Amino acid sequence: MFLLKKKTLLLFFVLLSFSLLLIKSPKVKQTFTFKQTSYHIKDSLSDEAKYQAQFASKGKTKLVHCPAIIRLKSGNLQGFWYGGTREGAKDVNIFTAVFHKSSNTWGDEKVLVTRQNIHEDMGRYVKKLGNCSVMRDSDNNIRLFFVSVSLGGWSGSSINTTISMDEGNTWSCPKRLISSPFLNISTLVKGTPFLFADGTIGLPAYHEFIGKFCEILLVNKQSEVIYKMRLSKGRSALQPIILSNNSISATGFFRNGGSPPYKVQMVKTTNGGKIWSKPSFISLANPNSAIAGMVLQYGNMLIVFNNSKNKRDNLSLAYSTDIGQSWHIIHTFEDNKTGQFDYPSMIRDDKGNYHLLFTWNKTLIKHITFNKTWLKQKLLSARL
Amino acid sequence: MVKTEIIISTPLITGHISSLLVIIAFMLAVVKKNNIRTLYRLYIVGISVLISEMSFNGISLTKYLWGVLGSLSTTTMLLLLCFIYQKLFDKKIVTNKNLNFLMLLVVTGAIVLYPLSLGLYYTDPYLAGYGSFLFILSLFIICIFALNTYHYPALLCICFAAISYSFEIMESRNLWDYLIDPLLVFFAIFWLAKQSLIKATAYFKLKKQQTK
Repeated sequence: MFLLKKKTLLLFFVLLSFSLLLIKSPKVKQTFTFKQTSYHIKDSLSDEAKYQAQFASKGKTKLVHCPAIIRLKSGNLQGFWYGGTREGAKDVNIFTAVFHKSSNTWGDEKVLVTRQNIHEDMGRYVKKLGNCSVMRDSDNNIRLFFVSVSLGGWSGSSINTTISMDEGNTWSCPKRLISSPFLNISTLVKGTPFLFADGTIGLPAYHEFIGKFCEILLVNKQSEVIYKMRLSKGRSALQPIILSNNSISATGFFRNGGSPPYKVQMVKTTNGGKIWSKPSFISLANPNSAIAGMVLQYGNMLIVFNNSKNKRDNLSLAYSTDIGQSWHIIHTFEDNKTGQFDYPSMIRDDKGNYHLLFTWNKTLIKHITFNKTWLKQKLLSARL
Repeated sequence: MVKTEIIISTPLITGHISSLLVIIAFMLAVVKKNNIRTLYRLYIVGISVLISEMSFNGISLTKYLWGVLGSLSTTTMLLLLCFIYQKLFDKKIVTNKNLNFLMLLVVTGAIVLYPLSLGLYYTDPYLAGYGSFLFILSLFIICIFALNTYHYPALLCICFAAISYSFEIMESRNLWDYLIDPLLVFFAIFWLAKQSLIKATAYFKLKKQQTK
């Protein structure tokens, strides 16, 4: 009798908990559409060709790495990177600086995130800080994603996010994203996040614990990972960038972190990211280094990459007119056998100027600006 | 530049409680003596709480553990609570038979989840945890099976995970994270190996006696 009563009670408990689960669990998205990038940027070809290079960082720290850049509402730009005595050191902080368009100069770099911040704000231990990427979300706030490690090397990474509602002056307490079932480790960011049409953030992420593979994390306004899209498998792809051609088509490019051929990898989707093609190699070389890219009008694409099979001593610009199938190298930004130029990040400002930030010899962050006329000239000389 | 206003959220509290439970269970496991009074064991719990909040290099042990382990699953937390109760009051809540079934479920889940979610192939079973109806249905079927075979601890673990997930008591929005975690999987593998070894030894002993 007692057993029967117990069983009935437990059955009731099961029904209650599963009813709750069904009511409260999120509905899995069935359709995905990318938010369209606006091309309404005023620029005229009658402008003079403009190409300018300067340093964004001032050498306050021995090492700087992995810059990210965003356009502010004022038209200024804000850059982010990490810096310290060496990569993975405990004194590594995330820095920020503003590029003033009126004076065409970078302001002083300031510390934005420290390990101590995380200990205090998030109530958890962090051993080191790393890569960051930045975007403007659907509420027009700036969102910074950055990597932190609590255990081990980079394979023990987690992604955190912090939001600024006042154009980068103050930032919210960071929040850790839960993106992996294995102690939430081994997820990193590098590529620029993008938006889906419903405001969900698509965060290009990658893992490098047991596997080296790429994913897109779908992050909601509460900074929670609500879904994922797997882009590759195995141990050969890192640091994805996603370039959407229209509301349902996009192309993803990966750093080749595996075996030969040492070339950039590419995936495609034609259904908003629901299904991605298997990775294939494109003609651009890749010495296991990060790339940056951008979609232009009519689906033409730009990619900044290291044009070498084994070194990062050459940083070049490539152009594609057929959604990434074939590429033409149109310019070399840096070429020095003893140098290291890597981790590019690129945006376009409200005047149509292109801004490229990259790590220059791991000691400074370099900023290169060029305009559409300069790009057009390069395309003409490459007969494109 | 980052604002330092700490948001006391349910996941933050749950995370710290799970770390605290690990510390208390560890301390009680270290004290092997079974003949000490419950009162002294309660002192050990008190000392564990004090240790967990003590600051080492400016950071408490719970913060350190939460940083490294993250939030533990509801199943692990329930089992830690059972272990602590058992150590405090010398009363076993979960029988070996029930624990075997639960651990078998955990290891099966881990075999399905971890290799693929760590990049073995394009399929990612972790996606099922983001509200897949089929996944919820599978768990419901396991619960009904557990109810009919009197494996109540497994049933309770799944139900508590479902309730915790519904009320978002942890940071994750994935149901898998409420069901299993690597710490639990390591324990499950150890437990099943130990039980198999005991059974094998007993079997061979019996066979030896029979041949004599």
